[in-house]
Amino acid sequence: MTVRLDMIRGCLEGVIPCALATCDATGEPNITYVSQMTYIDNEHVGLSFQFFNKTRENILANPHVTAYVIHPDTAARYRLALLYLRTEAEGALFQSMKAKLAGIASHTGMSGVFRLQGADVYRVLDIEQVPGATVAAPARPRNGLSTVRRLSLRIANCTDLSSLLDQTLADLEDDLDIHYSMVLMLDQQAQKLFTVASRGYQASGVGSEIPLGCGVIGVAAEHQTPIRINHMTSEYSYSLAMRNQAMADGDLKLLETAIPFPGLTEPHSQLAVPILSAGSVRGVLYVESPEDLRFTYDDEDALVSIAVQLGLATLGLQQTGECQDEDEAPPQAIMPGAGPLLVVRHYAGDHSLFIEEDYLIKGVAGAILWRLLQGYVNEQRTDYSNRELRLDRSLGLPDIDDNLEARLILLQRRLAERSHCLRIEKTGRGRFRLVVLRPVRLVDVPRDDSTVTP
Amino acid sequence: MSKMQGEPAPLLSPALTAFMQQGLSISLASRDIRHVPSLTRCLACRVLDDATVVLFLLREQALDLLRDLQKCRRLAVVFSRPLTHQTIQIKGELVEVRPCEAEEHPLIERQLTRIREELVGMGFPDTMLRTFFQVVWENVDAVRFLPDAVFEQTPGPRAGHRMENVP
Repeated sequence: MTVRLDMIRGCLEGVIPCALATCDATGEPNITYVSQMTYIDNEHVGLSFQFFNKTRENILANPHVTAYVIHPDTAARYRLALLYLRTEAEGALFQSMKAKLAGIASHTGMSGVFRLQGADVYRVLDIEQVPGATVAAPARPRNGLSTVRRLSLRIANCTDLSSLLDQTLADLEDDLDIHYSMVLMLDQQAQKLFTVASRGYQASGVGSEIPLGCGVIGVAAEHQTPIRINHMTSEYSYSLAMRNQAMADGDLKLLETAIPFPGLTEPHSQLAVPILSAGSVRGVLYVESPEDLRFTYDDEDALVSIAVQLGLATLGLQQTGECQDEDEAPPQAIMPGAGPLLVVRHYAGDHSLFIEEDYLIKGVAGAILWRLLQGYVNEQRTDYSNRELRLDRSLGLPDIDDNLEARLILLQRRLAERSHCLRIEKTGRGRFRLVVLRPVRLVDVPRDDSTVTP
Repeated sequence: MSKMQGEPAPLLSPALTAFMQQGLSISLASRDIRHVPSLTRCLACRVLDDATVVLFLLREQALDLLRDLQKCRRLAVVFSRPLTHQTIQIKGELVEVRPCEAEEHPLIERQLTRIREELVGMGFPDTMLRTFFQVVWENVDAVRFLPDAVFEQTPGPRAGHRMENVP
C-alpha cells in the first residue's frame, strides 16, 4: 500500500526526533537530528532552518535529503525521500513553525538556543515503510470526520450569533473533549481581537482584547494560519505578548486591559485557528489545555473545519439579520425605572463607560451603549435595529466587516456580568431592546478631560 | 601499550569510546553514486582496539545503505543520548561488512537494554520500545569502519565543531 504523508503525521510531532541525511558536493554524507518536521500537504514538508550548519551547506549544494521518522505509538519506521525547494523567512508557514519551535525549545530546555531563521520547504518524492515489527495503534478516542459532521449540522441549525458561539464551544467540550475554549472577533480598524465567548474559565473574559500579531491568537489572525504549540512556552504567553505590545507602541491605553484575558496561566498545549470568510479573517477560535501534546494534526483539521463553518455562519446570520426589517417587534412603552438614580459616566476620549464607580467597557462597544442610553434619556427610545446602528457614523464602525453583531453580543454579556439595572435583549433577527430598570443620569466627560482609563 | 612521544592522540578518547558504547540512539548514513543519501538506524556500537568502530544494524532495514557503502565507502554516524541531547557525529571509511557474531550478542543486548530503560524513564511506552528494539539475530550485520573525523553535535553554540584529538 502506498503510504501517504497524512497517514503518518503522528511521526512528525517531534516526540521522537527525526534523522536527516544529506550529502555535500564532494559526496561526503552527513546526519543531523531535527526536532520538528511540519506537514504542509501530502507532497510537502517544512523543516526548520536554525543555524548555518553542515546540513544547510549541503542542501544548498545538493537538494537530495533522506529522512527517517518513527511513529511514537506504533514504532513504525518510515524513510522519506525529500527534495529541498526553497526557504521562507516570513509568512504563514514560517510563523506556525516558529511558534511550534518555541514550544519545543522551552520543553527541551533549549530556549535561547533554538531560533527559527527560515522554514525550509521540501517536496516529498517517496515514502517507504522500513521493515520491522510494530505494535497496534491505540484506539482513537473518536471518529474525527463524524464529529465534524455533527458539529457542522448543529452550526447550520443555529439562528443567531450568540447561540452559535455558545453551542459550538459546548460541542467542543462534549464531542472533542476540549474543556478550555474561546472565540475572539477581529476589530479590523483597531487591529485587535476581542473575546466574545469563552468556556471553561472562572471568569468569562468577554471584552478582553489581544493586539493583532501578539501571542498565539494574534499571530494566527495576522497570518491567517493555524498556530499549534504542544508544550508550555512563555514566548507566546498572553502576559509577554501584552508587555511587548506596551513596549512597541504607546497606544496600549486604547487596548482593553481592565478586563483580564480568561486563558490558562500556563497552557501546555495551544491551538489557535483563524475564522475566515469571504477571503478575510473575522476572528479566531482558540483552544488550550494544561496537558502537553494535547492537540494533534487531526484536532487541527477538525478545528479548522469548524472555524470555516463558523465564518460562513457568522456571515450568513449577519445577512439574514439585515433582511428582517419588516419583522419588527412592536416598540415597548417605556416604563420609568424605579429605585435610586443610576449614574452612567462616559469618557469621550476612549468611550469608556462607568456604571456608578464600576468600569464596564470602552471602545466601539462603549460608544454603542452610550448612544443607546442617550436615545433612552433624550427620546425615550428602547428599540433598535442592527442596520440603524450600522449606518450611524458617530459610532465609528468600519464600512465593511464591522462585526457589529459580535460587538452587541459582547456588550450584552458584559452588561449581564456587571449590571443588574441595564441589559440588552434580542427582539428579533437584527433587532434588540435596551432595558433600563432604574432612573438614569448620564454624565459625559469630554475628550480633553477623559484620560481616565482603568 | 606505552605511547611514543610525538604520536598523535587517538581520534576517539576513552571518554568518547565509553559514551559511544553506553547504549544510544545511533543513525548511519551513506550515499549512492549520484550523491543521494541513504540512512538507517543502528542497534549498538563496539569500538575495537585497532581504533576501528563496529556498528550493528538490521540488514533488511538497510539494503540501500549497504549497497551504497560498498560503492562509495564513505559514511557518517551520529550517536545521541536522548535524555541529555549529548550528540556526536563521526565521519569515516568503510572497512568491511560482515554478519554479526554470536559472541557480540550480549554486547548488543546490553546496549539496547540501556537505551530502552532510559527511554522508559522519559515516558515512552515499554511495549513500543521492546517492539522497536526487537532483534532477529540472523538478520544483524556488522559494519566496521575507520573514523577520520569527530564532530560535536549537541544542540548549542558548539554544534558542528570538529572535536580535537584529546586523549
